[in-house]
Amino acid sequence: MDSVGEILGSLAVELKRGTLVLTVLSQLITKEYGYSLVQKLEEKKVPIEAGTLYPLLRRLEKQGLLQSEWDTGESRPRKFYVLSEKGKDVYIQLKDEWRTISKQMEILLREEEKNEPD
Amino acid sequence: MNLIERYIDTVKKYLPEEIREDVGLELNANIMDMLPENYTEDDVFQVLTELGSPKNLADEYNTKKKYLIGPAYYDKYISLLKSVIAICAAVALGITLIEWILKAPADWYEAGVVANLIAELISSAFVGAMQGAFWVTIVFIILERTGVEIGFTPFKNKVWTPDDLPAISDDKNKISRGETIFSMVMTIVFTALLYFRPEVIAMYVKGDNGIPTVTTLLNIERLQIYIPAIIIVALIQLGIFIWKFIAEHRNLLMAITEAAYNIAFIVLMVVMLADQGLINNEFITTLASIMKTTVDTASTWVETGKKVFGAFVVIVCVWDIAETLIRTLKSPKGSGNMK
Repeated sequence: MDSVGEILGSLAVELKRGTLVLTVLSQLITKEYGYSLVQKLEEKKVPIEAGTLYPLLRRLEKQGLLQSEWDTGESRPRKFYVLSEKGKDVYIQLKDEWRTISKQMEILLREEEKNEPD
Repeated sequence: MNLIERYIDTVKKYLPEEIREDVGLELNANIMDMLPENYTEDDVFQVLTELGSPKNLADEYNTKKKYLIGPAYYDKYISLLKSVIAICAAVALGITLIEWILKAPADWYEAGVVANLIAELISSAFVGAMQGAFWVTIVFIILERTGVEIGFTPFKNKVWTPDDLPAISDDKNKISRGETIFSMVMTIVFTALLYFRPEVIAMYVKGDNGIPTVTTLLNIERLQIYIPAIIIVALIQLGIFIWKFIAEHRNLLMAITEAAYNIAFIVLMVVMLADQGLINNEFITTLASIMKTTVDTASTWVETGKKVFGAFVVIVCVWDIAETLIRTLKSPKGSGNMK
């Protein structure tokens, strides 16, 4: 049997995984390259591991939600990603989904707290 | 080669050809970004540790299926694998045993005879089991890769309706497992005989010294021409059995596939029977000498035997086609499952 800590850990990872795409989409209104996005998310206290983020960017591009271009102007070439039109559309709707879910969840949790005071 | 190159090369190795170059370049840029200026070996070590195992990273890029047999078929695969391994091992054992009995070693008590027999039994059962496992796996891999619709599709995109529920168990449309397994055993026996031990199908004449002379019915060399066709036909048959096993109920597509298979089988049989060279000439001469008749008479006997056998095969196959089609068409659900 797994300990409470282990179970909690894996549940938290799962919970966070569901928010990954929304997190990334929200940060790509303006173009970013892989590592700049890692840093940006770290600053905002929503860190995503580099090994998870880089492949995710590529998958989102393949789905048509992101556009990419190689910028060879700088000292070293970098691949920049930004929301496509389809990506913007998806982002707006996904944001609404998230707000609905979080509102309903908040209501659920508050209700429970009211009924059973510690 | 430095660490970074080795890392990127390893990741690339696990990626599909078409994205290798681009992912490699991007990954290189990302790694460079993660490193401070004038970085040291230690910095590289740390960044690569952060990125994690190259295999895992490549897996993240690669969202395609990474399994041979996925969850949709897994349970059925395991249950069928067990049955087929058991059947194949038993058939191989049986054939080896029969071969030994027919050959009748002069002295069973002679040292080593029984030990040899046991060794051969064990090895033939093992080889049989491996063959069975191999072919069943191949069929399932094909099912998995092609996504063939075989009536068991909890993970497919098709929208499920209550109409898809299997009918109650007394349904005439239900395929009997026993029947399927029985036909499977027959197919395996015949294929194994023709493929591995065609020399067992023979005339055994006990000589004066107690050691039988063996005259095979078939010209083994000639038979080799037909082996690929025999294997293909047996594989199609095995595929149909697996389909029946999984689908559990008849449907029109299955009935049509079976009919097509039966026709292919008849064609193969007729071609083989019509081939004069396939019968071992020695068999005819031996037959003539035993029955104390002329070679010509013996040869007509063999011809008649071939015709009777051919007619038997055709009748059985046609019967099978008709029976399956009628059973399928009669049932209310039969035509409904056809796409």
